[in-house]
Amino acid sequence: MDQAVLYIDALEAECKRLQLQHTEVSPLKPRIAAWGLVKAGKSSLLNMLSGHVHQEYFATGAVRTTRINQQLELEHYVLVDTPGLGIEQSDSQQAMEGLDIADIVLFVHAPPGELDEEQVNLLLKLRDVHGDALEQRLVLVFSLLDLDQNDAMAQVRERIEGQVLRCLGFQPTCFEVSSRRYQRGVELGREGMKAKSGIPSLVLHLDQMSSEKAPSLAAARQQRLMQRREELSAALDQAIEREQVVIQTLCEPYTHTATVFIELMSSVQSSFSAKTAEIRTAREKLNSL
Amino acid sequence: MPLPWLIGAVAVAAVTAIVKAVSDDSPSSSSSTSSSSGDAERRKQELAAKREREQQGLKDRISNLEKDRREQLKTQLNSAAQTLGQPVKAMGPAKTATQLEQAVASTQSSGSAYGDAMKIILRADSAFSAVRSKRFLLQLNMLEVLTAPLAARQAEQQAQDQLQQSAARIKRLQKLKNTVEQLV
Repeated sequence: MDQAVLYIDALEAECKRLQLQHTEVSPLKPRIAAWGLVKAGKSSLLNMLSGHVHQEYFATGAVRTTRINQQLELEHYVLVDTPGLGIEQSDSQQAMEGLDIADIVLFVHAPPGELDEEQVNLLLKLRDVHGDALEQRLVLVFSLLDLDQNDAMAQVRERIEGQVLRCLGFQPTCFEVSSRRYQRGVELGREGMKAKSGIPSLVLHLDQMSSEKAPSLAAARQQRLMQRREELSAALDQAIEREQVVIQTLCEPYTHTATVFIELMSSVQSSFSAKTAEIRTAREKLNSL
Repeated sequence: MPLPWLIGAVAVAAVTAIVKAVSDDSPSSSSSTSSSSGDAERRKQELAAKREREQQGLKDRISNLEKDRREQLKTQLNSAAQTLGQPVKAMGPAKTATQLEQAVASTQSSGSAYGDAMKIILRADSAFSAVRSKRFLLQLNMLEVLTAPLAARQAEQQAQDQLQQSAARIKRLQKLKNTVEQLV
């Protein structure tokens, strides 16, 4: 399909999201959205954070399971699971919607690799959506800690923190977690294992962030909606301007031709009229004889 | 002849001669009347001939002017037609002077396929005024009346299609813009 049409489709989708979010009644608790690539361990993490250790609330599996945003309200906040990015356009749109409504974003990354280009772009997108407020809203989570071999995670984390700093200009709070270790700790009743999983620390941090955000939540959400509205409006203006340039470029050779033609034909008419006037004068003289 | 009679006869002869001489100078004489009417006739004929010559001269001048006008029109039309990049037929010789004048003075816009395509294209460009667009279509009609209606080429058709698509996109964007503006 035409690139221009695809772009308008994207603007239209954003417009619909904005309309929906404008009219919906938002929960009074902060929304915490897990955001990241497919199979980063987002759903597993949210299951652990919400206490669904034995019976998962957010579906997990070998294949990607989250196709639409799924919310779960807890005592202090609402957890939002978003589809993994980077596979399907419709999933990404859903994830963007999840990002729009998020008051706190858990950017979930599964090492051993560093952030790839797509994830860096996602971070940049986060910065676009949340602006300067991102520093207070972003939490970086390295999941699948149990896959750490030979303490490679420490080196990877250092490199990723460097990437994030270069990309965002600040260093967000980072957590290393292992959902599997936490699950084992719960099953075996071993507090040490649970603590080592990083999940309890993250829960505490999220509780604290939520209580800090709660008083200014409505104003912050309203401000975000206004900002998105202004950005969308500017994007629409630019798209209209681009289309107008397309039209002018298409018309330019024809308006040039028409201008030259008008000049020449005006000259034709002028010469013809001058000759006709001479003929008329001669005829009048002839008639008067 | 007795002398008194001789004197009398001479006197009578002298008087007769004098009278005759006097009457020869008078215009009211019959010979002088016939000479005068001949002159007038001659002058009248000269005048008529002169008028005829003038009339012929004017007729010739009109004919030449019309011929010049036709030739000039033909040459200039060819030149103007070339700017359209279209294969344009030459102006036909069958057009009368009145038909030429009517074509040049026509206030009708072109309704040819090319004219219709150009109308859409020119009106799509906001920088090209409606007045100029109208003028182009009037002049195009004049050209087409004097030569032949022009067909739209593939390039114009394509431009027209692209413009319609672009206009549809702008309409969609403006609708979205209105929706966004209402979100306050």
